[in-house]
Amino acid sequence: MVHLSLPDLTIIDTGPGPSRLRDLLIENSINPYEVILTKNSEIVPDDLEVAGEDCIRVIDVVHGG
Amino acid sequence: MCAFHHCDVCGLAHVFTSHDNKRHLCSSHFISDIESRVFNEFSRLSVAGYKRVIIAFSGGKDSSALLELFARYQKINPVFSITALTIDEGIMGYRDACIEAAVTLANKHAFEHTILSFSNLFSKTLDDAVKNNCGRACAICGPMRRKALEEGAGLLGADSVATGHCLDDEAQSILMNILRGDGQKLMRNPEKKREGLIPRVKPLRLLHEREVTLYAMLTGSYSILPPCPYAASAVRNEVRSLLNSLEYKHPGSLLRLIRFQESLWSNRIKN
Ligand SMILES: [Zn+2]
Repeated sequence: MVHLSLPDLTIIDTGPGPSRLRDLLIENSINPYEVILTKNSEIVPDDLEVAGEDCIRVIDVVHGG
Repeated sequence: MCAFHHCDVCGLAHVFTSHDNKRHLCSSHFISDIESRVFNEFSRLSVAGYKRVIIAFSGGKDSSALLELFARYQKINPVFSITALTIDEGIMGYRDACIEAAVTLANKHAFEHTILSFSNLFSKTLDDAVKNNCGRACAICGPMRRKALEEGAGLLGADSVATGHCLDDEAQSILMNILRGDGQKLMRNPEKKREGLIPRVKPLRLLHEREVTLYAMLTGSYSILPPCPYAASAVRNEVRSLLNSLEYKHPGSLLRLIRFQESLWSNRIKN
């Protein structure tokens, strides 16, 4: 289960993957153009494939967080 | 399944993929790409004769990235005399954190830093000014900020005021001016010299906000600050969301809006 941690502190549990991060964002109505992503505090690109128990933090480029 | 890309330049793992999918860059090549684009703009400003630059420095990510870029450019090519100018609008629970971030970053780069407050300049804070009119806070704040910047820049002997406006901000302003039917604002080139006004320059105007934010994060000049309590009321949020959606589906839309405005400016000169 891949977890997306959103700027408003909610966490979305997605399917087990593997999935491309950009597709996960779009499935959850998040515009990839508006966000930067980190995994284990490292910045990762939105064409990264994720799977398993990966936790991805979604940072809003407009308002931070 | 899709192929995982690597940095187009060095082949190491990339941290950035442009939203049109054409560019993949690692951290250090992303930083050098941004710096070469903005340094070209700094060189253009230097050739145009600007020497005494005031950076409109809120402490937010865009102006922090701009300050970082100026600091790095000055190390290679110290052609500008720079002072960072922070305007304290007087917004309870918001501005203090921004000012603290601004002071820290200005000190890090040993830039001169001046803070001017609405309460000193206008004898009232923004909170006072919008007390019964929160819905119009941005419309009230904008002209006060511009006046404060103009006064501060005049006091500091500036020949230009550099702001951290990026491509997204500029495109939003163009569409908002069209929606308001404000042709005069649409036609106004802020860099053009006018009697009694200090030119505004926008070295980040061709960078996407996402690029500016990532640059700030990768260079350690990014701090997460609280959102402005008045921002939620702004029409700009709706325009931003619309344009971001267009930009993602049709990459280049924002830049085409900028080019559209530039074509209006140049046609006006010919006419
Ligand atoms: Zn590289």
